[in-house]
Amino acid sequence: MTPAPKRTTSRRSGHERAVLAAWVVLALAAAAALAVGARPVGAPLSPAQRAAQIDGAVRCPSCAGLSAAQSNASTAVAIRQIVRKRVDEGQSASAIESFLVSRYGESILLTPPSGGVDILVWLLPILGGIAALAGFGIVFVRRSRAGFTPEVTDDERAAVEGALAAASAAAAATASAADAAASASSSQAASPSPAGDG
Amino acid sequence: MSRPRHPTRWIALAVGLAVAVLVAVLATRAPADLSAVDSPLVGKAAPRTIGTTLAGKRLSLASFRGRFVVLNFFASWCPPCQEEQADLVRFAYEHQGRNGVAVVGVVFDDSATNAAHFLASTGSTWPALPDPGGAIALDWGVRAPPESFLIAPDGVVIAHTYAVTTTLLNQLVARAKAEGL
Repeated sequence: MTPAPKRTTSRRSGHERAVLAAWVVLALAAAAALAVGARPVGAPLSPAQRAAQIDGAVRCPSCAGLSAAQSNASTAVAIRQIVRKRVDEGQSASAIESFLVSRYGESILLTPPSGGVDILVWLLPILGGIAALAGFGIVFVRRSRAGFTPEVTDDERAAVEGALAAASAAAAATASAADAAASASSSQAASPSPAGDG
Repeated sequence: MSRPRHPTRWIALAVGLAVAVLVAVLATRAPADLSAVDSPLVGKAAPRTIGTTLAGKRLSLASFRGRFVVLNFFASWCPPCQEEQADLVRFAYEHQGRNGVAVVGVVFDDSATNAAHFLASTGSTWPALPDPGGAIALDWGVRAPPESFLIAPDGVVIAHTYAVTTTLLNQLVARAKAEGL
């Protein structure tokens, strides 16, 4: 029996190249779609829309887990008023948020800041994702280098065939024994009973 | 024959070491201090605070320059405010006088009538500013009453506290004076 051909890994086959190219095209398409989707569209925001956007990014100082836009607490109402006043004065969102931070601290922002130690909040998930992808990549490459078909020696093949033959012989013997038992019981049922009712 | 490597042992050792360092840092740092509640205003000039008191007089915080001031945000409906009021009255009495420590109240999310009645019923004779839109509270970064700020004679905020006691306020003022403020 001819052993299975070993997969060569030194040079990529045309099929592998095609698959790799397909993955690259898919990744590029996904990145392009994300870039297009993230692009701001439409007309510039009105002052009310800008104020609402800032209100949504600021925490209600006296509530748990609500933005200033979502709460009717007096502190949230005061924040909405000052935000609208400063937007009407032409201040930028970052200037308004800086003012609120100067009063309440960084915790007034619903989005964690991206400077100093706080940058870890953003970096750690990204680093974790990269590490996970790298791990998957390493495992994938190792497995593909190991080949898809295991090498089997003639001795191993003969041993498996012998075991299969023995197993099928045992199964045949069991089946014939069961047939014999069944025929014996049916002939016993057909003969009249000595304690019959006749 | 070389011994098999066990990377998991090194990982476990590193994690254990990191946890030990974290525990050591948490266990050895200074305990929480009531007088040192975080506020970005501490160490900075007090926000400009002007208004008409419940008694109808104009008041500017800047007019207290040269004296320590306790700025107390309160509400009649707030139980911790009711609890701290006796201590605040005692502190104001101990420090009364032209060069003593001034106490100024700011009404937080409460009606002027209820606030005035609350102050009168507790023997609080200091001026208090109504703050119907919450603008003063926002300027001071107040989240919920009671909150108090100690302002130095030079107009710089030197402490921020939640509920106060006479002892705590005396300690804060004594510490500030010892530092030459």
